[in-house]
Amino acid sequence: MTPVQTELLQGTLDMLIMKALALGKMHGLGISRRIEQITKGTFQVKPGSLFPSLHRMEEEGWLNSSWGESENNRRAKYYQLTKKGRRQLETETQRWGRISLAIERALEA
Amino acid sequence: MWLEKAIRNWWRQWRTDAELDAEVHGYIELLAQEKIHSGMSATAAQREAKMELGGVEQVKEKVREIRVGRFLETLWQDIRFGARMLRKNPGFTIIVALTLALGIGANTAIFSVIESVLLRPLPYDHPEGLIEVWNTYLPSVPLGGLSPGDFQDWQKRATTVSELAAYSWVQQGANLTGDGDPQRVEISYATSNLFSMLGEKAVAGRLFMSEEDRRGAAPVVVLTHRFWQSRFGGDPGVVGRAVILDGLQYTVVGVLAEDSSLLDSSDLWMPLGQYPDNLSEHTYHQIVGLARLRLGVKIAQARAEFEALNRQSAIAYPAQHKNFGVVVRPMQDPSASQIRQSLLVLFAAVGLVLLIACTNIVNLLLARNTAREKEIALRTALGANQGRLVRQLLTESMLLALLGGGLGIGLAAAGVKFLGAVAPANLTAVHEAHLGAAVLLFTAVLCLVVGIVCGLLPALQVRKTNVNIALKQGNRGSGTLANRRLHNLLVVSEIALALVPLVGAGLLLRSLHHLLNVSPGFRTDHLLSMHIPQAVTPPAQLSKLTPAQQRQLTEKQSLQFLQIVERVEGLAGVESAAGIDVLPLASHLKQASRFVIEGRPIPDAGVRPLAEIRTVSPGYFSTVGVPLLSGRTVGQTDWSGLDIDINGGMSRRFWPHGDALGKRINLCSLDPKPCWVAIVGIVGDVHQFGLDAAPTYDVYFCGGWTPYLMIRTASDPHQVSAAAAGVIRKVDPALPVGNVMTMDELLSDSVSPRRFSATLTGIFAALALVLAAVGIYGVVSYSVAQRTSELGLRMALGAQKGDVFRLVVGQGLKLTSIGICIGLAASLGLMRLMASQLYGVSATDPLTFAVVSIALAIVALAACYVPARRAMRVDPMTALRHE
Repeated sequence: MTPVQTELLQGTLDMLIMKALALGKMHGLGISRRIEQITKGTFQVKPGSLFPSLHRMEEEGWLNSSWGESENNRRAKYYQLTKKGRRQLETETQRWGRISLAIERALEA
Repeated sequence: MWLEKAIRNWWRQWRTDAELDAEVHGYIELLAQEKIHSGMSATAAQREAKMELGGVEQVKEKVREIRVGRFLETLWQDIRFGARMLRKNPGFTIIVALTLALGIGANTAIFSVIESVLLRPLPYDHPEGLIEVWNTYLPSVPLGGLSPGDFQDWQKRATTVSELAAYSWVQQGANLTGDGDPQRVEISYATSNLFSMLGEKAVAGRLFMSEEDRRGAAPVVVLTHRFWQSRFGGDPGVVGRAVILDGLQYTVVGVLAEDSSLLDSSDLWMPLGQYPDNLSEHTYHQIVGLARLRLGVKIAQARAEFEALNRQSAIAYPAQHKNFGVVVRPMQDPSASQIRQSLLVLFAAVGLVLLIACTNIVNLLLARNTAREKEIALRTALGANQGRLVRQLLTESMLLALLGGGLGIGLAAAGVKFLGAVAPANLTAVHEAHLGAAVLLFTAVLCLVVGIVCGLLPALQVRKTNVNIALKQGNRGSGTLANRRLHNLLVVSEIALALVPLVGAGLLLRSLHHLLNVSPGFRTDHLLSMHIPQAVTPPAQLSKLTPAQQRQLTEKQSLQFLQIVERVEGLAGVESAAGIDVLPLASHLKQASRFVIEGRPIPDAGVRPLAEIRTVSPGYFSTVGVPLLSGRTVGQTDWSGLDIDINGGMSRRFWPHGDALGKRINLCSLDPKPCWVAIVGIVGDVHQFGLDAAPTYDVYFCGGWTPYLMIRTASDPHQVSAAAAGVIRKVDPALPVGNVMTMDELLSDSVSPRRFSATLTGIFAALALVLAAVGIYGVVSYSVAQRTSELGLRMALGAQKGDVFRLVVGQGLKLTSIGICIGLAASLGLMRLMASQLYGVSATDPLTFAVVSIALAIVALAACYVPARRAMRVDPMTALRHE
């Protein structure tokens, strides 16, 4: 499937980032690759959207960052979910579930 | 420790940009690596990666925007939360805001006066390049004028200044006659380059030209703006007209556009070159030098040059110029220096009031934060960032400070108007003060500082909250002991701070009281004075008269004056009248001469005693009420000028055995010819220069025209003034009548500046006392409330109500005594700085210190009284139940 450039709402991007990090810590490029993976190529997150979101979520307290060594032995900034972030992910997932269910129903009506 | 954290945060912010940069570049590296793995060349991969990113700077910019947005958002949240908290406790908010409004408002009001006096730049072009050049004759004359001859020499030779200008040190008086009432005017002389150097412009006509600045040029005058308005109603047609001064005609060539304090002290200006005296001589130091530094020249260089020029003058004219020094300094506002000292004292007093107010508020905030401990502990447990909490509390205190500041500005505006209404008329600075941009900036900065100072300590105390204990015990104060010590420390410092302005005010008020008790030496009640100066004969003409002709002139003038005295004494309500040439109590100008006593060894010229010389008309002493101590008063028989009266002080000093009568002294220079005069009477001492000035030796002559007419009236002096003026005008219509005032008014005017500053300081000291009392009351009440269960326990264990009362009052007394001791120590040191303002009382006067300390102690104890009684009423059962 050819990747489609779709505009992502901020809240949606947050959720995707947190989902990507649910498995463990990752650096910026890794996060966007993972999002591509789990959305089966639908969403390709540009760094212009990724970095602001990452930093904002860190300020909110949903993510923690630390410097570490990447695969090619370069320094990279790694992000991971905090407890608060996990709770936020849960909340957001449930909310999304309700909204999509409602929209589905609306479209079928 | 908190300092470390703050610095670390700030450091982190600074490093964040570097980190961000590293992160973005790291991303590019990883992306490029991916592409290399899939087969691209290294360079192509790098290029592709960079393009995909879309620009490092843009990405960084987006992150930065997010950051700033977050910060502003949280700040807005803090502000809204803080505002809500303040609304929920309106009593607390109002008390704090009012206290701050008082403190900030008072400081703003005083600062506005200081700004108008001390901080405004001089109203001339490029005032930073202007300097004053003075001669000195130490130790008696710290600042004196230049002689015209020296001025001309230096003007030719000075290279560090682009212009050297001068104006006359002393004003000349003259009678302005012609159209309108005759009026006494003051004339100053200026070199033709003075106005242009200062940047002054003419609003009508023109200012002086250099051709007019010499003897023999057409006589011209320039009017000051003020005089132009008052005498000529602002009519531009006055330019080109002639005015008659002392019988001579002068043409008005222009009017000054604006007056500065230098330029508006006189009514008219004339070119210095036309000054009726020898302008090449080097003896009489009668002009003030002003200069403009050349671009790039520093004042130190100019100073060095003038010192060299001064030395050259001393070598060239050894007889006249020996021992003269020179002073070069930046140009200053002449009226500012007088009140600088008292303004600074006021500013210190009002600053202390603000400090005390802040201490009160810190106490209040600490108490309130302790009351909110449970809420704060809860929020911390739920994960709130400690730093955020501190910031939020600080925001609250900032809001309070801004609220207080806003109210304070309103108070200050009213205060400045009030000051302008009650201040004596000669304090122009007070009347010119207004809340301009500089003052508002000062208030804003003050609010900021107050907000931080008041809020920081309580906000940081919050961090010590032990969450567990706070959640369990609730609002009891988990750091009770430390908190209580803090409260006590604040109260002690408040008391110490309040003592200082109280002592200062006490000393100033006692000085005022002493001063008002000083007798001026004559009776000031029912005594009217009027200034009726005759046109002055030009000194050039006078010097041509023989001694016999001079005596005739004196006699003629004396008879003319007697004629007026007779007419005035004939009026209803007038008891007697007489004249003198210089008013007592108010003159600022010395009219004095050094003298030698016949038959005694002659001291060196520089150390001969100085006597004030006055000329009176017959009957002066009885009219004004100066007692005759021995001998007789000078009268009509003494018009020849050979006999004098001296005052008691001079008689006691030089003839301690009381045998002054008949002795002779010489008031002129010894050569070529001395003029010996004989003492025929001794009269009482009179304060010539003000109640607080040093006593003088006075010598009285009789004869000639004495321009101040003194009228002793039976009832209200003002009722006689119109009739007297009418009588005078009938005798000589060309005589100006001015400066009509009673001697009581003159006396009052001479002490009014001192009275004003003493009263203001007293008001601020009272304010400080009230604030300190409120502070003590608050802390002791709070402590009683905190210790309710402890007190209940004590009472249950057998303590009597009286014991509890004594416990609370004892605590208050302990704090008060410590505070007073510290305050006394501080005052002993600080009052010395104020010594020049005091009169008749030393800066360490024990009586004042003792009385003030006792008063403060009584007030403090009274403040403890109510909480102590409340403590007595604690019911042990209820208190223990709440445990």
